Amino acid sequence: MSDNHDALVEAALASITAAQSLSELDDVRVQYLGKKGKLKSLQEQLKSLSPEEKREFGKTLNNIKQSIQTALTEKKSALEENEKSGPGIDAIDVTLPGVRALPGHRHPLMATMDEVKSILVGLGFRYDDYPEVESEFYNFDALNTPDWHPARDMHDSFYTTKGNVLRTHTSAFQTRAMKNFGPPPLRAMTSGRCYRRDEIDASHFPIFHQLDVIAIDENISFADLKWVLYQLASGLFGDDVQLRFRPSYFPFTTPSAEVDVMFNGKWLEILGAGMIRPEVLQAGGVDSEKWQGFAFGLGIDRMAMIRHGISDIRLMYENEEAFLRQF
Amino acid sequence: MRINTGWLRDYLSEDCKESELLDAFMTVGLEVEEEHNLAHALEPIRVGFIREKKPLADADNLFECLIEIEKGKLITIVCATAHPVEIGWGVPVAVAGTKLPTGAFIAEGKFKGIRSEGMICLDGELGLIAKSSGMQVFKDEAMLGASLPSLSPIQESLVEVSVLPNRPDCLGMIGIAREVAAVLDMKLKYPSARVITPAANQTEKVTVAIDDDTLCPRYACQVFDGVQVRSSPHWLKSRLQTAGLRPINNVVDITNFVMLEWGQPLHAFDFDSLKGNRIEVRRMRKDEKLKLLDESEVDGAHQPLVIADAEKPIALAGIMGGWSSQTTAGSKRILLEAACFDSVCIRTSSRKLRVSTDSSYRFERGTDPNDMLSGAFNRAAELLQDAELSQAKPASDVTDHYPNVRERTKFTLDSGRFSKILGTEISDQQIEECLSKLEMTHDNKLTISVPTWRVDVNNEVVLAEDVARLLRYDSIVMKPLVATTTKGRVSETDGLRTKIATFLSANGFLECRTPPLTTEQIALSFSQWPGDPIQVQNPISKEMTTLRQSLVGSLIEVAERNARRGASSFRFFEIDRTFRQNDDQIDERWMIGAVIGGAVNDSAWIASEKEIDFLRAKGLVQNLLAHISVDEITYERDTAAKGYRGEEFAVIQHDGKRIGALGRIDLDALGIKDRARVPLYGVELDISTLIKVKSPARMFAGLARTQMIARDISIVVPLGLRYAEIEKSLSNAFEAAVKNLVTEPRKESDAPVSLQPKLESVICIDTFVGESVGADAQSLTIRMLFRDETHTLTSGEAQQLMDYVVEQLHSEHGAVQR
Repeated sequence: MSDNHDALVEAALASITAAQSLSELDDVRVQYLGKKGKLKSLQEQLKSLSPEEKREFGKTLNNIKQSIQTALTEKKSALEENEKSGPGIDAIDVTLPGVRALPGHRHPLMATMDEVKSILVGLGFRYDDYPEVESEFYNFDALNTPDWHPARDMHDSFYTTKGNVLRTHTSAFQTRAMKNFGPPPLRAMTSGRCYRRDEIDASHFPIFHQLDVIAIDENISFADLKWVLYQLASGLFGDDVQLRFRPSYFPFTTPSAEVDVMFNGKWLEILGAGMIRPEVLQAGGVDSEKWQGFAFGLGIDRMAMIRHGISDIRLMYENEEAFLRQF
Repeated sequence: MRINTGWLRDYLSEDCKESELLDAFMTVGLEVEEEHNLAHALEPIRVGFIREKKPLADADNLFECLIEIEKGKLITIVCATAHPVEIGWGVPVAVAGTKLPTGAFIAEGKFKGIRSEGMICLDGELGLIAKSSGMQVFKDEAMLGASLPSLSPIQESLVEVSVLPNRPDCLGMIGIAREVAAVLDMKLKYPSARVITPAANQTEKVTVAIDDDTLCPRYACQVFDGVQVRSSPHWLKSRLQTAGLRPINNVVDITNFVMLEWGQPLHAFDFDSLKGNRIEVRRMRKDEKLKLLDESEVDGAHQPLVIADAEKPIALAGIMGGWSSQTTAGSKRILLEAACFDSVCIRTSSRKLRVSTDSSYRFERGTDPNDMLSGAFNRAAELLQDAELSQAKPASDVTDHYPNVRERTKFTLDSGRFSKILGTEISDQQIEECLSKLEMTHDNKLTISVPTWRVDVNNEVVLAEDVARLLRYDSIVMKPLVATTTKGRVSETDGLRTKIATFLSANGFLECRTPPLTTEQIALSFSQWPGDPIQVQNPISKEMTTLRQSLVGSLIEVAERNARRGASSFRFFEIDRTFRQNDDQIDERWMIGAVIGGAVNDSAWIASEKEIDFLRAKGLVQNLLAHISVDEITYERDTAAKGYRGEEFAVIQHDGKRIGALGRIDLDALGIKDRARVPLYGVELDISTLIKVKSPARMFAGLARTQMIARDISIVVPLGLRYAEIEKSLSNAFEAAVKNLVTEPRKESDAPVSLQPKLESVICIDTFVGESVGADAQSLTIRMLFRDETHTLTSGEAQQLMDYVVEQLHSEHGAVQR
């Protein structure tokens, strides 16, 4: 008997495996488990058996039924799976482009400015806006650059018809910040547009962006300035950044330094820095006997050009999509 | 200032290495703008041999030379007698098209009909200092065609050094050499300068009268006789040429050379053209005139300081000599002048008269009346007598008007203070060592006496910089900022700007940076607030005259520029200030400006792609305002600001106050050719106001768990009726309906319930205009969402509310339900 039964199960499993579709599979089910199926006819035999044999044969029948049922179920879900997501189905072309508005972009200048700001905020500097249409006093005189001073030649300024100057550098904020925020300790910065009557070429534009910083406390030194600049530079250029400090001259700082960064094997000038001169502290109402501090300023345009490998400053003011979408 | 390092070595040491020198410039703070190593830069100069030489017809001082520059290749060069060459000589040749390190470009020329295809170069013309003959000559034919540096080792560079305005003492070779020597720990070699005394029988006497000693603290002069005015020797000429000066004659060349050496300008007058053996230094009189060396004429309107003889002005003090008193080939006696002038006075004159010279450049920055002046005067006097030069003899004593000798400034320094400023331990000894290298003397109390050529040292902190420079900045070790903790933060406005920029860039907008200084037309278009324009009095071009009052105009230009490049959809924004002036008050108003137009999505291949119209642009503005928590915004029709089209324009208001505008751009009104070919919309919002009206952190309003009731009403209303009116009536009607609401019994309880349903949302879901609704009407479908927080409304209750609303809309606006 058992041989016969094994053959039955094998035949059933073979038919299940061979079934190509759900309907074929259903045919197999009916053939074996249906009302007139092969199992039904075996069941008929039960009637003629003794109770002992009945129990035994009943078990066998159950096993046969379960084997076939399990195979059917498995095959059914496999066939269903195939019908939903198999290669043969009529599916959407997923490689077509998505329907979308192209993403927008921040301008590389503004992205750079925000990055510098955020590093400095982390170092305890407050950011505020200061006037662009500035008085000669804050732009020059308060910064130890009186009218007759030859250093004014370095800044060919725009004057308004009412006699104000369009700030030539964000350093104009220094003594305003000192006055606004009262006695030190003070760490402040600003950034934004500056204006000089420069001829337009690959590295000059009459309107450009700077960011300026001051820190004043009892003991803030040139060594501290170097540390802060390394923090900033490593934030922008990576931890292994190399800086070079060269003596320079600004009327409002001494010692003054020009700072270069090593970038792609070359020293590139990135910012000017120094210890705030006593005259400037006094112009800001700060007692220069008690307090000292540093100031530095950097050109955001130049910084953005270095970081993004932009060769011509004019590109940043032409605002062509092909340019803006690259950042 | 252009420096030939070979010349600089005259004051240092012959064997000072080239690389050390260049490094020293940087270390000490002399900014090197450009550097030409001549051993490399003269590579294109080849040795050519002169095969033929004949005088040029009708030209006394020109020769036509046929020169072989490589085997068998001959070119013609016309050269002057200043280049004394002979047939058979090998000479340095720059062929046409060569750029010399001095900046000179050799072009093809034509002289008397003869084409000249290059130049025979003197040492000075190549930027080299001449060793002897002024030109390198080769006799060995094997050198034909060889490059110049390959034949004679060149240890010179031309270095363009930018001398910062605080250090006029470095506007001379000696000043630069002093700095370099200090950092390289070498000794500065001063040029010899004997003090000149006239022979006993020379008896000319010149008196000097100075009106105001503060304007001319010192004036020294001396007469020289027997001057032979001629061409200078090669060592002198070439040195002037390396610095970019043209040799003129030996007397003028000497004054120029000494100026380049000491940084002290000098002048030589033709003594026989002066009247009265008298020099006056005074303001020019209003009725006087003076013809200058460059043949321009100045008048006395600004009353500049002049040098005058007994009768008339003979030179513009510190700026330029006069025409009539200049040294010429025929001059026999000259008056040598060395003076010190007030820097502000010279600067003022130079600015007002718009004359700037090497001399005024130095005086404006401040010269030294002591060592620099004396050194220069003595050096020039010595050179004038030099047999190789003009062979002059002193014919008078030195008249030296110097009533108030300028003393050296003294500072008593405190090494503790220096240590505190620099953040590193500095000893008294270090300070003394560093400063003495700069020729500053000190006593045992660290009182430092500063030479008067250091016009920049007006505060002891400047000396801290000198010490730090000479110790080298790199030697100061950085240390973590130890100071009172301060709160780092961006301002509220800046935070809002970043938030807006982030939102817009996430919504497909490209951020732009356009110049705030623009044309009057662009600057004043789209302006929404009153205020005078702010204009510059000294613009550099017509494109940049006025500070803008709106950002939209500039963004339109960006859109048009991109349209020219083929763009068909436009989403640009910028965040920047706008500028107005009201009396003396300057209004710098931060704005967000955007321009939008073209396809909603950049997916042109989708047939259903829509274009931006007014309402889509408005949707973006609504989302932006929601993103930054600005609520209760209304959009009102108003007279459009210039540049917008009246029929598609709205002012954006908060609490009845204008915060911005939205509208369709009128390109015709702007005179801009429409290249975009789609409607462009401009938006501008005032960030300064947004910051004031934005909501603080929003509060949680609770969550209703009852079912939301949605009901649509379709009504036909007159065409002119604005949607906002309908919505307002609808809201009011709903509130009134709630008051009259009769509650229905509920299954769960027979107790009467109290209902306060709220209208949570009103949205227009369809508008329709067409024949079926009549000519002067439109159909609107409005969806209302409402619920009571505690009980779900029955359909009967909902119907009561809707009936009331429809009735109200009918009575108020004649709305008819469809």
